[in-house]
Amino acid sequence: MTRVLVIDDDQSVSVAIQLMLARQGCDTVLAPDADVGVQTFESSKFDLAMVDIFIPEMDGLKIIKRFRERMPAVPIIAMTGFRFRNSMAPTLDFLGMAAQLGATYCLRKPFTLQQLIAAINSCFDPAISIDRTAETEK
Amino acid sequence: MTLTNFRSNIVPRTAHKLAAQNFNQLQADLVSRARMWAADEVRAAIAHQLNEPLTALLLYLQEIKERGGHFTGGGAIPNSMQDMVEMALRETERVCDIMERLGNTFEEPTDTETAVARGREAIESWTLSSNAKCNGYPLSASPYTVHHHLTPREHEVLALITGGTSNKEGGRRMGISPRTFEVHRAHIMEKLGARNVVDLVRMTLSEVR
Repeated sequence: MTRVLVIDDDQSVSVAIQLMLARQGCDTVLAPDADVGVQTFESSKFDLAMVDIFIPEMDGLKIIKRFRERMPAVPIIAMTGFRFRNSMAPTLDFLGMAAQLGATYCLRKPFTLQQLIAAINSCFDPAISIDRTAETEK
Repeated sequence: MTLTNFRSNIVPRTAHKLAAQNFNQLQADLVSRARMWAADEVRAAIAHQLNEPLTALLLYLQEIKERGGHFTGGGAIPNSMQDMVEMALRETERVCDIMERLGNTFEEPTDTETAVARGREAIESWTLSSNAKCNGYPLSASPYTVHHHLTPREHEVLALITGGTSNKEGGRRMGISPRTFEVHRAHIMEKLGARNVVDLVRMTLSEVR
């Protein structure tokens, strides 16, 4: 069973993701903040980490950097609902930064179920990827 | 006082005046830029907050739509319920589309005029080109477009009503009696086919968009 860690301080999003992934046969663990997320990730084995870039205490970029350094083989999906650019100065491209720090895939919120599944599939080897179509046809 | 002395007094004063004007202009520019900056920050913060529940809504609705049967013990969910889920999903996607367009609209403007111009352009192109619907009606055929048939006076009353103004306060602001204000209100609702103030607000938002 694919184990996924979701680090997001917004419970509505993380619970929705957990529900969706449960139906795809994934075991999803939720972490509401950076400390719990890092502790959980480093004390257990996960196949995938989904990290929101804007969370309290430690920003998601630091988490991604840390995860990548310590567990280079685990794919990371970076997420953010921040998308506006400031008209007075170039806004930092947070998802671009996340990718540079080692995120395997970047998801802009709001994302659809199909986009979520596509993101997860792209992180895994096709042989072990979850496939909604295949599962639906069973 | 010699002519040379007189000139030496005048020039510094002119220079001082120019410097003061430049300073005032610079100060005004700074205030304007600070306001724009603040507006951007607020917009980004609101968008960030909205994108979170929108994500959850999209995921839940898509799951309910595609797998509704599983949630009701294996039986198919009623068609009427499926229709409602479909509509809720469509509305959610519409809000997502608005957020997307807002993000694109304000991508690189460097001054207020450009930002406003791009905003208008985006609103117009979206209204004309998209197949977005308003309460099930295509925007171009929306009954709300009869908003344009209101008299200037009725437009004033509508703006006050949708701003949450009471009949008494509205009448006072327009210099008419509360009763007359109420009559205008009744005419507006009749013309627009609105049932209540919520309908009026929705129609006004639809027009603005």
